[in-house]
Amino acid sequence: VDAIFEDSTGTVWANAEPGGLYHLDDGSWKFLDAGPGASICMTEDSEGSIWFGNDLGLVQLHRQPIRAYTSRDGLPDDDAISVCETTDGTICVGLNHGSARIRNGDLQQPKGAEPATDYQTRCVCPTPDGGVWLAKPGYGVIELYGDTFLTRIPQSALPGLPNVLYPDRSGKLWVGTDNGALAFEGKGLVLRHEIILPEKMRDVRTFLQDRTGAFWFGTKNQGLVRLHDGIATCFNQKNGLSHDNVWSLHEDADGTIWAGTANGLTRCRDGKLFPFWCRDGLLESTINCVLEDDFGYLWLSGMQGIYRVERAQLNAVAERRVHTVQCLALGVADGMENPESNGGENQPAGWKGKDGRLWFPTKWGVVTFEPKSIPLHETPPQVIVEQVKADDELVSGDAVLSDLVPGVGPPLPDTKAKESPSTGSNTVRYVGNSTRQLSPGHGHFVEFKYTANSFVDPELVRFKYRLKGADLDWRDETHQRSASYFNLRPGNYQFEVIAANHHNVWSPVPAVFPFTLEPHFWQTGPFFLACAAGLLVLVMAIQGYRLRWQHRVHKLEQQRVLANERTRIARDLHDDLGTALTGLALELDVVGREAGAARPVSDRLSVTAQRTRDLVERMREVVWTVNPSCDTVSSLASFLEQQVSQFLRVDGLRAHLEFPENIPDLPMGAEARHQLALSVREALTNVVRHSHASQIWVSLELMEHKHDHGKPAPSGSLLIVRIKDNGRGFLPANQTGHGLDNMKARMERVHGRFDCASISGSGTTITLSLPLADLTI
Amino acid sequence: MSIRVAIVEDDRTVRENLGVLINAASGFCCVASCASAEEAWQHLPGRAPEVVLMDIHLPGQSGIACVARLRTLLPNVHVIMLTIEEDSEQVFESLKAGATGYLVKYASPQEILDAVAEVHSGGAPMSSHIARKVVTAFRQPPAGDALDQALSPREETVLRMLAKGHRSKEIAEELGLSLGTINTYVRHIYDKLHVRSRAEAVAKFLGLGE
Repeated sequence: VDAIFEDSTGTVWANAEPGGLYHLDDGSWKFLDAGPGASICMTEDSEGSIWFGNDLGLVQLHRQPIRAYTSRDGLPDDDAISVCETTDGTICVGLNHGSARIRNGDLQQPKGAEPATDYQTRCVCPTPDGGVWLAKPGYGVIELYGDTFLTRIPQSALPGLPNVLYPDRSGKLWVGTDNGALAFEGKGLVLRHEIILPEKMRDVRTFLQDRTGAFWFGTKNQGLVRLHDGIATCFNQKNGLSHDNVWSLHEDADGTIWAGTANGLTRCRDGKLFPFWCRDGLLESTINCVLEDDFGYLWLSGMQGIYRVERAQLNAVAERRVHTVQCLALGVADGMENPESNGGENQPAGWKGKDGRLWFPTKWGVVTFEPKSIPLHETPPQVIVEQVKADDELVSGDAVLSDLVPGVGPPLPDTKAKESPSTGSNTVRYVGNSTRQLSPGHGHFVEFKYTANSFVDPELVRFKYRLKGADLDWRDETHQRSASYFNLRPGNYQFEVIAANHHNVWSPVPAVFPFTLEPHFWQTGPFFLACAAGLLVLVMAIQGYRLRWQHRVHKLEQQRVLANERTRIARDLHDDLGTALTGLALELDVVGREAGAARPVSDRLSVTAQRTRDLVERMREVVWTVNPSCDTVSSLASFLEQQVSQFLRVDGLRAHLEFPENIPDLPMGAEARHQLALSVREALTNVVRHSHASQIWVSLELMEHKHDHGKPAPSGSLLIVRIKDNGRGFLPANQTGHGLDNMKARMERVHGRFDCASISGSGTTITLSLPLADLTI
Repeated sequence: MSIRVAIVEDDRTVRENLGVLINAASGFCCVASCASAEEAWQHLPGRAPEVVLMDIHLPGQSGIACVARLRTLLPNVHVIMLTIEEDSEQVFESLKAGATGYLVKYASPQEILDAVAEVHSGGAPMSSHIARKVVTAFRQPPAGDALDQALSPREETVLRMLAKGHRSKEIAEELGLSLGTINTYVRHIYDKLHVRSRAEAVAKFLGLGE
């Protein structure tokens, strides 16, 4: 003996040479073929599986609570349709072809030849005296007593094809066909009743006589009918039935009726119905048969297995005390060859034996188990987060694990051992609660790999996960062992995953992986604040600019209106007043000429005419200063030219103009023009009155200010007007009398300069300089 | 032989008195006086005036348009524009249209007669600010086939001196030429300006300019 081991059930396991595995049961050693290779070590996991390590690998041994009787046991057909137990404890199975009898766990076929074996045995039902009735649609009802078959009701005596056999308490046999239900009495099955149902409701699929004596008929498509004291009550989807195909009826210890339907389970208590569906925790919609064990659990057979659900939980859900029921699912791992059960449209499709065993017909044999062998509180699987990757960077876990899908891939001994709870120290680091910090920008693709330590049927292990901080609720159940999240925003998260084993037992505590995704600086609050502030400043700046712009536009508009007005006044003065005065002067000339003889009169008229002309000229000067179209340097130049020529005309002085060949159209304000023109006039007047000069030079010059960058800017131009004479000059002390102060004041008013240089005996130079302000706003 | 003068002026007082004064002066006779451009185009060709005194602001067609048309009707006529506003763009425009000079309206009768006589005898007054505008105008590339209308070097010299504020007499002295020669140059400048502006108008009409 190399190794010896006692498991939790008290069974002792031993390995003996050569390559034999023995277990001690009921005081005797039994041999178990565990394949080649000698076991070196043994252990038991939390699910009760025994693991044997030998030199070829790892062997898992799991007890299966379900016993399936199939063709291997000698059944004539694997497709079991109906099952019942006779009064002497024999199990009778209706098969797709023929029938079978199981007595004390062994197949015991009757010696007599079964008639019509090519007909389906849709229903089996015990006779009161230890025999069994078999219903074969198209053939009739046969009685099997001992080893003899006897046809009791030919098909011709039935209104339709039989789908259900039901023995009531008085010993009558009820036969439900697709065209009505009948009751037969006595050994010879004499017809007693025919229940006259409305035509549509005649397809009866199941019967139940409850403790009050009321009769229940489950129909196909037309729901449930309760017949009591001659009063029929109908139940259907409209008043709370889960589906109108009623397959199976069961009365529990409390007198509550449970109806299994093609879609869900219905509780009928005190005439009130409550439907249960998958959303209430049922694992399947189709319920072929409802049985109850001795421990307060209902057993529902469906298309994918057999399910246990606690009655008390169902009641709690119906009373809204609990949200969902917990179902335990039995399937292939528990010993079924095929989890699809039969029945539904025909009954009985399940039977509870006197010994408490439950029997169900399936697609692959008839199955049976002791409900007490199924633990009420099974150890839930332990779930762990194995690995976390953020943008392909390993955050937690072992890189080696990455591409293995535990339990589904080849059973590598190393992997199995690592995940086994007995070496659970490896997993502790994943279950820890320390929050991981993920550096900024690692939220594009976050992948979690997780698994659960359930090895009885790993393919049936299901997971539910959620990412707190991103998911509002648990995601849908999945068999996948990884979860991915994309484009996570910075913040705090906790990944949580729970698992259910093959029995649908969920881990009560999730495995968690808390982490924080650090924000980029531009994802932080202060940055947003700064952005918001920046935006605000920008908006304010734009608004400010807009307001200033509006103000400018408004101002320009005002200026434009003013300029238009000035232009209009100027034109009116010229055209109307100017022409009228000119006409008046000419008229005076003409009158003077005609007054010929009277010399003094004609002289005075001629003087008056000249004054009138002077008036026009004065007016013209005024208009010139007002007219906005004259707001230029070149206009000033031409005005000065006219003034000089007038002085020349009057006094016979020799005047020289020195203007630039090209005078740009630089803008010049009306006030500046006016003051400068008046200053020039004053200077010219001084020359004429006081200087005794014979020649006069008037020059105009434009200088450009040298700016810091040495760039000439038109707006920085300096206008210089010089009036020079060759007269006698004057002493600076006498300046006051010559209106010099006046000129100075005029120039200063428009931010200009006035300079006077006089050398006694050789003339005077008056320099008027004026910076040209940028008139554009 | 007195100078045949015509007046185109919409103000009746000015027109009539000016006519009386011209007729009264020896050596001048007023052959026509019209109140509008349309009237002038109708009557003046038949009266063959030598000098026309033309108001720049006329009702209906402006004095400028009137000048341009008169110059085609009477190619040898000299037009003197009458204006109140001396440096207006319209003065230059009328010179471009073919006027030979301009006078401020409030000039005395003697000044008016002097100006008429001067123009008649071949004189061509040009103030410095008009000269500057002419310089600018000639700086533009000529439109159409008016390339031969560029100024000669002498004409350019005279024009520049005028633009600087020098008077015809001063220029004559400075260049050692007679006043008449200077006047001829200036008249040529006027003519070339006129031709250029006509070419410009044609080019504009044909869509060549601008």
